[in-house]
Amino acid sequence: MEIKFNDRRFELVVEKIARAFGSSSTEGEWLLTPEAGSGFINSWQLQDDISVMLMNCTFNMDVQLKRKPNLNQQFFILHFYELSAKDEAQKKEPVFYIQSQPLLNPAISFSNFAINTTVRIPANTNVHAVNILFHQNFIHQFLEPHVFEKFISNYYYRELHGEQVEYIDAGYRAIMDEIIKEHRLHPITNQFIYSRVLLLMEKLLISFHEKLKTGPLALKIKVEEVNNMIQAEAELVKDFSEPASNISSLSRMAGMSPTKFKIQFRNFYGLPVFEYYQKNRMQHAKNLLKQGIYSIQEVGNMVGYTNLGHFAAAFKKEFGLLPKDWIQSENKLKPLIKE
Amino acid sequence: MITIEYGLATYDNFLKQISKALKIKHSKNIVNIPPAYGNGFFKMLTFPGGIECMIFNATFNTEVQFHQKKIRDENLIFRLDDASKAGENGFTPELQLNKSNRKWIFMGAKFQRMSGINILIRQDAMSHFFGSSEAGIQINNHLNLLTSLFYNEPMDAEYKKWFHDIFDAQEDDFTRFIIYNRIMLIRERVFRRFYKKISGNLPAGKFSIDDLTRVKEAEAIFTKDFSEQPMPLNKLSKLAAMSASKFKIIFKEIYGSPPHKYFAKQRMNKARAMILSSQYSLTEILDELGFDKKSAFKSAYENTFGMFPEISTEKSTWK
Repeated sequence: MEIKFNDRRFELVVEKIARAFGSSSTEGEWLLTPEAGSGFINSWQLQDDISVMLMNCTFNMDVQLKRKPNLNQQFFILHFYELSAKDEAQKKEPVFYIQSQPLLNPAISFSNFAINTTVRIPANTNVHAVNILFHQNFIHQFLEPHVFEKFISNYYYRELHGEQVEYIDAGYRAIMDEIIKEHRLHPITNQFIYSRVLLLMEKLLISFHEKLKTGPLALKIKVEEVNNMIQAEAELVKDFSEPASNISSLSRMAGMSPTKFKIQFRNFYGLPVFEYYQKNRMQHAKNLLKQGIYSIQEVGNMVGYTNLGHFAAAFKKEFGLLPKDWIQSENKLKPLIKE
Repeated sequence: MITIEYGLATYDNFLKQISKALKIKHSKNIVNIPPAYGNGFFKMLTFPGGIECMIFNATFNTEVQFHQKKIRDENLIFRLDDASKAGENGFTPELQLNKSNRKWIFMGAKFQRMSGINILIRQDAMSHFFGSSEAGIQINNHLNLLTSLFYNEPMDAEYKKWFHDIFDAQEDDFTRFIIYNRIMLIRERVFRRFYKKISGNLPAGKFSIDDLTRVKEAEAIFTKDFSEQPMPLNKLSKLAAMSASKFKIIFKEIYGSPPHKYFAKQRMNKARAMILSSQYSLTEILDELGFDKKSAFKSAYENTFGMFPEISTEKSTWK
């Protein structure tokens, strides 16, 4: 199934996707019909004319979302895509094409309306995505035009030369998860999404800015090494209920020696492999607790702990509080009014 | 002593008034305290959509009184205490929510370091924030109802992190964006928690806006005159046309303490405001607040604020 669009509001894109499946969206949201798959795609028109599309769904068939180019270069689009690939073959398949350059899963892409992009979502694969569309006037309120110009030209240059410039790490994943999974629980949904979307933009701007100075770009790593590393990271954090993959299988996946893998991993993600795994695992646990529908015991099991005491200790090590104290501090509020 | 009087239509006015008090030229966005008065700065940043942020870190070598006057605009003010000062003299850093149509007084002692972040959000920007969501409307109703809004929360790890992101931000190409984003996060979290407080299983969520309005009207009559004995509860609840027990529950929910405890606290707040204004003699204050003896007044004052103000003895009218 191929769906083409070049709209400025994701509301219209959601409607086009729904129509392609012979269904229709309501108030910018489409719940997939059983014939199409499961999950949802929805869109939010936020302040400052920022348009957002969130996806947490699985299609029954292969789907391609194609954005056709358009001459307007003042609109920018940020894509954050993470697919839970089923097998080895699928992991090697690009999820995203920017012009003709492939990006591997999980992918971040930055483009404007003049650049065409294609997302490929294989059948029966869960897709988690945050798509953000904004006008340059929004960014110009905060950044000097020349700073943004520099960002754009450098980013495009690398992206269009086949580099996976930014990649999803624990920080991006935590914000994506928060937006996708929690937005419905929030009383003022628009504002919740707005503040998190700004954080994603900020992280991208600053992280790339840092990389221009140091980091993998300066280290001159080969494109395929970057791609392999991204795959290995995705493998590491894909399922916390199972024991973590060991270094030797991860390094094999990344196509380098265990020693080199450990060094490169740290360069990429800022932490040693196991610490990084543990941080993601605890962040995942915290997100689960925040949803307020699982007990501490259940969350412990979901992130692979059979011993609740060990889970509590690990949680405390990461966040400084035991899970039960953390829940209490989230719920504890002082009197509304004090004179 | 320096006294700075201002209304918070915008922080620009605040900076103008400080400049005036310190006898320096008013320059946009920043006041550097001249060595003759102390050291440090008050810095203001403005953002799109009627949002302003003031970062300050200042020490005066004299006592200083900040006197925020009531203005008609109902701008929201978020005050974030400097969390790094936690524990100094039993200080507990807080995040306070306040409105510009309310009087607010702060006294700084000699050589006391004042540091923190204040955020001002214009009334119209808040309406925009609440939008048309049901929760937004409910929160907005609450805010409008509570003219003397004063909400606070402890500075927990999350607020502290954002505080430091703003307070310690180095000036670079991205600072403005980072600070704006932190303000968005703070505002969003404050109101998420505020909403949780007013909905859920709490009385304020159960009672109608009408009930709340009537209690509020009764409160205004209750605290109009402190020279008389406080009105008994049964009379008060009659004013609000509800049972005494229901009145007590709603009252406590809105104002944080039971009616008579609240009355006593308000009486002392008024005492402090009268003393700080240095326009009243002791006799006048005792009369106005219905105290017969100075000793009773002094102990009531100490019970509320811990310390009888030293400043008061310096005033010529204060004998």
